[in-house]
This record gives sequence, structure tokens and C-alpha cells, in this order.
Amino acid sequence: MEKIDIGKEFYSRLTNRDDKQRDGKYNGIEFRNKFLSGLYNDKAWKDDSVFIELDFSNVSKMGPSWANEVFAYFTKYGTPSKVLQKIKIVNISRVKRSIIEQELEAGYSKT
Amino acid sequence: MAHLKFLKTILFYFLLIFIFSPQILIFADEPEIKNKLNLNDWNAIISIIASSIVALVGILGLILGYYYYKSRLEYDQCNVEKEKKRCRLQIIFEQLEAYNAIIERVFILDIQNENELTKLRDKIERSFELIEICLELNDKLFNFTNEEIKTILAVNSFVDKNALIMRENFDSLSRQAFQSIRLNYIDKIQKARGVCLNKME
Repeated sequence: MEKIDIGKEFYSRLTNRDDKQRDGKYNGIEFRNKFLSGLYNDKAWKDDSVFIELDFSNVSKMGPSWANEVFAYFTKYGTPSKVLQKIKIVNISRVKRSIIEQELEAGYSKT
Repeated sequence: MAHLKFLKTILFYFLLIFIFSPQILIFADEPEIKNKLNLNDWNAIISIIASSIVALVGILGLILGYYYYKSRLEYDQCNVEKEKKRCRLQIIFEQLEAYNAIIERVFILDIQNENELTKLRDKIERSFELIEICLELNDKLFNFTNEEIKTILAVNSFVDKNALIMRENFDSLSRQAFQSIRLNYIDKIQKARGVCLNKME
């Protein structure tokens, strides 16, 4: 299981969905391709093991667009609870966790 | 527990001085002591009883006074907490109104050019960030349920992901295009306002 401190290994402000939103930097697609590409197939979702642990202790801001692109994208492979089982999130405030859960419940959407 | 121990100590010394000492003197089997105190002297008996009652009343007054002080302290602390909660909720409510005012400007196209639109979109992001910070820092104070937090967050989730509000170029925007989006947005912000107002006591 890989452990990632997002704030240190990626960026502390996670707001952009893709390179076309705002300044386009440190966006959700970039994060997904860099750390979660191992989940881009059905085989990775067959078992219940944790694929990656994401540490949010150094993340100061997380926007719904970024959360939707990173987490809700995987709802095509499994339910929201399955996604959170595969992608374990730690050291996160209740507000940020609620943002992720809300995006998972809403489903993947670019509009 | 420390204050109970203190009270017990005070009570013990009061009883020792005002109640037990006279009783010990009366029933002591010493002829010298018996001669000093005349058991047939009703004045002496009455004064012992009176001093005992005064001592008991004094102790009772002390205990009642202590519990009044404690209750009053808890009541004042409770009021301070309520006021603190109300003030912090007021901040969230006012920030929601500021956020709404900016979005309304986008809906009615009260914008001159692309540059102004970019600034407004930046303001939208910053103003909701303040709401999120306030929610995080006062999580225990507000004691919102998960559903209530999601109701407030749903406003920005809708706005932030909406291409017309947050991504499209100034030239492609029109009031007509905003019409259906606006109704959906109003529904969400009304629910968020409701959550804040409901928590204000």
C-alpha cells in the first residue's frame, strides 16, 4: 500500500479539475494520473485491499471540482464506499471529508 | 473532588468547635469539670442548643452558597458558549450572503469584461473558503450533523462545478443561459441559509 502526503508530494491547495480551470496547475486529472493510475482497470477493483493512503494533513484547501475529478471518477468501477475502501483518506477534517463524500454521492460530472 | 474535601474539612472543624466540645465537657467524668458546669442550669443547656443551631445554620448557609455559586458559574459559562456560537454562525450567514451577492452579479451579467469576470470568480472561491474555514475551526461548537454540513457545502459544489458560472468565457454568457441554473442554485442556498438559522438560538 502506497502512502502519499498530498500537501508535500503534490500541492496544498487542490482546486482545479483540469488544466482549463483557473490557472490549471496541480489539477485533479494530473493527480489521478500520477498517483491513482493503478486503479484504471476492473482487475484492481476485484479485491477489498487498500490501494493507496492519502494523507491530507498538509492540505489547506480542497475544492469540489478537484474532489469530483479525483474520487468521483472511480464511481464507474465501484460504489462510493468501495472507492473510499480502495483509496484510504487520513488526517482529514470533517468538512473536507464531507466534500469528498458529497462528490462521490453526486457522481462523476464535469458540469 | 478537591472542593468536596475542603467542605468536609470545614464541616468537621465547625462541628468540633461548636457542637462536640460542649457535649464532651458536659459528659466528661471529671468531678472538676462537673462542678464547673451546673447541669440544672437551663440557661447553659439552652445556650449550647442555640450555639449548635447557629453553627448548623451557618454550615448549611455555606453549603447552599457554594452550590449557588457553582450553578451560577455553569449558567454564565453556558450563556457565553451560546453567544460565541451565535456570533460564529452569524459570520457564516453573512459570508453566505456576500457569496450570494457575487453570484447574483454573474447571473444578471453585471460585468463589463473578461477581466472583471475573472476577479468575480476568484472572489467566489475566496468567500466560500472562509465559510469552510469557519466550519472547520468551530466544528465542536456548532455540532452540525454530517447532513447539515453537506447542505451548506452543496452550494459551492454546484457553483464550482458549473461551467457557465465558473469557466465559460465572458462572450459566451447570457442571462437566458443562466435561467435554469439560477433556480437550482436558489434552492441550494435557501437550504444552506435554513441550516444556519436553525442552529442560531
